[in-house]
Amino acid sequence: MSNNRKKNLTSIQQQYQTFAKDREKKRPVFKNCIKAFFVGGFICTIGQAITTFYMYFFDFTEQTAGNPTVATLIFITMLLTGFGVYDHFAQFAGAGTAVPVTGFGNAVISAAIEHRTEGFVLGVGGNMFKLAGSVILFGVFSAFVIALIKTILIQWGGL
Amino acid sequence: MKNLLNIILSVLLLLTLVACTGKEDDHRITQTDPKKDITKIIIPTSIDQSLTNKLKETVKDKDEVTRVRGINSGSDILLAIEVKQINQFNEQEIEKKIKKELEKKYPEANIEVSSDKKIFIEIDELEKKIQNNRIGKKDLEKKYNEIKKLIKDQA
Repeated sequence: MSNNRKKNLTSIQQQYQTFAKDREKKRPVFKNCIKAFFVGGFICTIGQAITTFYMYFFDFTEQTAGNPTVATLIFITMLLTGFGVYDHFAQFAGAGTAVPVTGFGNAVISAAIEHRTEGFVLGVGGNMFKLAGSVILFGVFSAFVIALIKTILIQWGGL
Repeated sequence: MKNLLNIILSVLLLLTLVACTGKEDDHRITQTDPKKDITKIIIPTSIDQSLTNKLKETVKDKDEVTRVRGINSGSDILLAIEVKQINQFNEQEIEKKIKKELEKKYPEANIEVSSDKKIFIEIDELEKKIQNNRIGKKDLEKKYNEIKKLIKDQA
């Protein structure tokens, strides 16, 4: 709450605020960070293993193996979300499961499941990208801006 | 949940079994220096590899490079390098630098240098095959073109 609003409160209200603040459970930020670090790292290790798998058994190089790896990770997350397993991981690790690309798969499927009762077209179809849509839009738009900057630099900057 | 665990375990087991088959015997010379992993094909083999051995000698002295593999099909040379962890960020630059240097030193050769892990794996396998005389000139040329295509693949 801003200081300005705090001044307008009566003394009893202010007393109550401090009383509540003392008893509020503190957010374990550091612990959450550690959890997110390890679980996120674990997901990335799995991703690395999948990349290595694609390099050894298929004709993908280090550069091109990234595409099927992302697709596989998203696919696995979608299945896990559907079976209700991913929610438990996410509850434990927080950002550790949301920041890697698996968070994207989770956002799509969880929205689809949530709106399943509203029908397939208006429910699932219309709301599937409610959460993940902004991610796609931001990705596409920022890629466009970066490409524009690069083009300008190469065309006129002589880079 | 137990069923799922069983499936995952059996898939993992299958993968290990698949990975264990079809390995080529290794008869190449390996470097004595523990910091560098450079192999050399013992001559004579049915396909001459002395040019690559000479090139490896040059690359060996580079500080950033830790592992080198290479083959040649005639005067077409493929070299795969692995750089130190800290140099991974500019491995493409190192790759270009080495290529330029080698081209200056061996102007008659057509040299391709790559720091890609996939290329490294492929060339490593190919080296073993050449050493064991299990690949013909024509197959080598075909394989060379395949790997070169992989290097050029930008998709």
